[in-house]
Amino acid sequence: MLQAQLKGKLVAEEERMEDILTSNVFGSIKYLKPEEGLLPILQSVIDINGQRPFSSIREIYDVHFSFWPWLRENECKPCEPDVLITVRLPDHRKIILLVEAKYLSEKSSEADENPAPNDQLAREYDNLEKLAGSGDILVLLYVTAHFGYPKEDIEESMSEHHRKRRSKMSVYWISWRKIASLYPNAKEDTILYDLVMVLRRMGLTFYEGLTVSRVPKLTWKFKAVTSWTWTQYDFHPLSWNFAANQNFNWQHSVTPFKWRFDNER
Amino acid sequence: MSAEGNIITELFKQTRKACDQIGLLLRTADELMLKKGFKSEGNGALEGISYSINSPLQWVPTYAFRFYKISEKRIAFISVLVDDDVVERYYTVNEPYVTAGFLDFGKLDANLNGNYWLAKYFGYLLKDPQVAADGNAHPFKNDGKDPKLKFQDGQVFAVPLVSIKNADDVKNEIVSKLVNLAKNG
Repeated sequence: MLQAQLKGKLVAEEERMEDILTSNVFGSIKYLKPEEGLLPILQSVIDINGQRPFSSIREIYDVHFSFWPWLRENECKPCEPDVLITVRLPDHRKIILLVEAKYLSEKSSEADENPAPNDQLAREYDNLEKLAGSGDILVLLYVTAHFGYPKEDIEESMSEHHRKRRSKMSVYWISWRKIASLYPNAKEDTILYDLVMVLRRMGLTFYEGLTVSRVPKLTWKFKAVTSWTWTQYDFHPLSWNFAANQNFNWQHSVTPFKWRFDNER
Repeated sequence: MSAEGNIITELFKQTRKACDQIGLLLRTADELMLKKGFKSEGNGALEGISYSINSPLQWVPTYAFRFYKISEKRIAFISVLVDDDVVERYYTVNEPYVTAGFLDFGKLDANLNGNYWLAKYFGYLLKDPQVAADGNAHPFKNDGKDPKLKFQDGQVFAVPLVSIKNADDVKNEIVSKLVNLAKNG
């Protein structure tokens, strides 16, 4: 899909699909060494206080990706997060990372009054809590195109989850706009380089300063009036006149019609 | 493909690219202002452009802006002036500037009443040779000639657009200074 997008083979509607974006990003890093692809993302996610709790992780022992898994844990509403990533660290800790990706759409469900959480993020975290083993580190990663932590979205989810489960959600966030900057040394002809190019093509970057190349001075001009010769009119009197005596017949007649809606069947 | 034709296409592509970057700069500013507690007003960023066949010079924007309510009496703005004041011709610019400032409405409630052009106030001050885009704040007053303008006075500073290279520059050179100016100026 990266190649199709780089060559402009996708129509705009397809380019805007968050599943394609998710597939491009997480589908690409799946095939890379974790330190090259996933680790820079994990190190850069931030929590609600703007902290990067995983920035000190330097190595990943093993990683497993599952795309669009269907989760239906006991007493939870079912959900289909975008990616479930299981990360094993060299010190045997395990991170269960659930990715919910949004691009141009909003969360697909909101809080309600049923016993189980219904807000999309709260529902996914609810399943994640049941899915994970004790001691596992739970990470619900919300990926959006926002410029800053989408506090309102996340606080709504946390509020419903806390009201119904009495526990605190660990929600982390990263912007799609951050991803391209995580791989500054991606070499040409690698999947990472193409991924960065796709994200740039989609305008998914932060402000990086203006780098407009020099445009040569434009000499082209539209010569709109140079061929007018006004003197012509002195020698050629205007002969056109409006033929007002033609047989225009603007009268109109209205023919009475007899149609009626017959409702007396 | 002719060389001149290519130049024209390139000109428009570069213009669009510049718009994209300026949009990113302003959205970054929005986010940073929000973190300081000041929400931007609406999604509008342009004014003074035209769709009319009679106003082709106005087909391309000359500036872009964002406004933020600081208090009941004050409205702040961040704008990017990219070209001369092509319609009224009150000022010319030799390079694009990022400007930031505030309008104080004195005893009245702060209300722009659609006068978004106030975001290019730095351009009008440029006629004064003492005024430069050096980050220093310049005060201005409403001369009262237009009864629709309710603001009393304000201050504005500017820096060259090309000196703002990333989000940190937006934070340090624009937003932090603006918040300080708008709260204490």
